[in-house]
Amino acid sequence: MIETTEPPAPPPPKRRSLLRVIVAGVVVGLIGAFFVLRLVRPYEYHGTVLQAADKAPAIDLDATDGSPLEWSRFEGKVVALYFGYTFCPDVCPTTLSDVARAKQIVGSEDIQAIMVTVDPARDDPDTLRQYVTSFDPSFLGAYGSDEAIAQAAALYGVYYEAREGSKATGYLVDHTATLMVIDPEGHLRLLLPFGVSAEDMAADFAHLLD
Amino acid sequence: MNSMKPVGLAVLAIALAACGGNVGIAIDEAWGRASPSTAEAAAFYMRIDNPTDTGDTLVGADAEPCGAVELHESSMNADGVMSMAQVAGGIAIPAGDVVLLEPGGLHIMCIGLDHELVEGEVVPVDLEFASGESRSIDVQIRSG
Repeated sequence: MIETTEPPAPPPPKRRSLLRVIVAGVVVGLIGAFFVLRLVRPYEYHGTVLQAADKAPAIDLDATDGSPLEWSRFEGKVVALYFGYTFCPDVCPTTLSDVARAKQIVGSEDIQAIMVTVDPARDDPDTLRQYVTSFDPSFLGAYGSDEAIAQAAALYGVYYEAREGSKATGYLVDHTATLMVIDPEGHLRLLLPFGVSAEDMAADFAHLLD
Repeated sequence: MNSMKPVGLAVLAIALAACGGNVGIAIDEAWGRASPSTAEAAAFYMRIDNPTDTGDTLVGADAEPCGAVELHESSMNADGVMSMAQVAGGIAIPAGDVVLLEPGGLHIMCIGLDHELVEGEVVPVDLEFASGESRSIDVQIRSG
């Protein structure tokens, strides 16, 4: 007679299914936690976020729609403030074009773009108005005396300086190309560096409008 | 079988000659933004591909709507200040490299526009290289 050994008995059914339940539970728990954490994670803006207690500093300039530039006019709106000049062929049109597109993506009229000219010698109010409204009819330009512009730039930490160009270009103006974003409550809230995409700007604007 | 060899070699020789000699620098994706009315200057961007084993340099360009054309580069310093300057000596296109002219960086600056550039317009531009090569390209004008 051949001796056979019985294979070891499998663990009793009850214990095996309990183990499976525990493993399944842990896996589901981890997946669930991952999604919950993603939902509760704070929104990430695409630039520097400021926590200003005071409202955005007032600037003593006129807007190209004929009225003085006062922040109270834009309460409830997101203001995208930019310092540039119309002779700039690359950086300024890129930024203004991106802001126009971001406004279209958000689909709201509560986004106001304003460009303060750092080149008042060449950018008279009419030139400025035609320039900014080419990107979007709602866009405003801001202008004033050399002193008023210098003061506005200083208040917003914007550096600008004319530099010699070629005979063809005339002088060029170096300038801080950061987009200053004022929230609907009138506080300077977000600094977007040059190069942020229109889609990312739109996401940030939409979040501020929420 | 024997008659195939010389034909084969001839074909190979011709193919190699075509690859080495005439392919040269290729330009594509040339575009510019529609100019805001009153704008005096516009920027043209493109992709310059140099598949050859000799470096070259873009030294100039010509386009009818432009009173003058210069090669410029925008750059940003650590504080977010943008400045723009002519690229002295031209834009180098090293052997085997691709050089991108794009917003915020290198661009061809069209100065003294004689008319507002509108979306859909095509601007023919002649590019000149240090080697003596020249390329005529079409720059597509689009909005944003």
